[in-house]
Amino acid sequence: MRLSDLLGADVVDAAGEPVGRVTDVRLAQTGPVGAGVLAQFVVESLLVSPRHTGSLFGYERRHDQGPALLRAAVRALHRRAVMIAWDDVDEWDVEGRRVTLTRDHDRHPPEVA
Amino acid sequence: MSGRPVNPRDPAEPGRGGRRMDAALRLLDHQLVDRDGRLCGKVDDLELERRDDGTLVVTAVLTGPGALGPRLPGVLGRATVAVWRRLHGDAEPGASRIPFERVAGIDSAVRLTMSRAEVPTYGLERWARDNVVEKLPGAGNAPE
Repeated sequence: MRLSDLLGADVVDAAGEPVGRVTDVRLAQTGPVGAGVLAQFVVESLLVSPRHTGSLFGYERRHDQGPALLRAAVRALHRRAVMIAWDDVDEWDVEGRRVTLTRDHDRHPPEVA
Repeated sequence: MSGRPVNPRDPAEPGRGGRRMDAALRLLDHQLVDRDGRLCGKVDDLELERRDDGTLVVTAVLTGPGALGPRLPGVLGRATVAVWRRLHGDAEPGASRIPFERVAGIDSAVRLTMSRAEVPTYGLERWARDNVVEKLPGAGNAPE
């Protein structure tokens, strides 16, 4: 499986209703960082946007990213973007490029990593 | 995947301490740098492995046309993969894989613990040297 199998995948809730598409994948480092070696990264959550315009360089996540006009435009486009924990994913159909969420999943506002 | 409630914003989440980064924004298409500071390709994709508990772990950095091609749309993507397959010795060469254990650090670039010569995609440059450059008149007399 590849990151690109997740990016752009359709996200639906437990009833099959569309939530959006995966525009980015937040990774979290687990365990201690050894000398000269990075601890492994795991997929922590998905950034899901109902728009199909991609992640747009983090503008939808950073409150201080300028220029202000561009920031406002991108944030308006992505105002309904949400972060959903990987633990709230019930099923990932890699071939079908479709992620199904659990019935009781939580949706969080996107914030910068 | 267990349905356990998790707050992705909570840095104190048990077992989730440490650095966070958004993969498409901070890793994809970023520069790969070898242990000597030399450029050796781009992060074209990441390999993910699903563990028994449902956790998805990043196991490798994928680089080169075999990783980039499938990401590109339509004819461009198919052509990239086709050229890569033609130049590569194997029938189904796939992507060049750098195990994540060989990543030393991530800043604006992804820094590796290995030499550029060990990066699998560097074989394409070796192929060009052996099949094109060395066949040019006078190439055999070139100093190392």
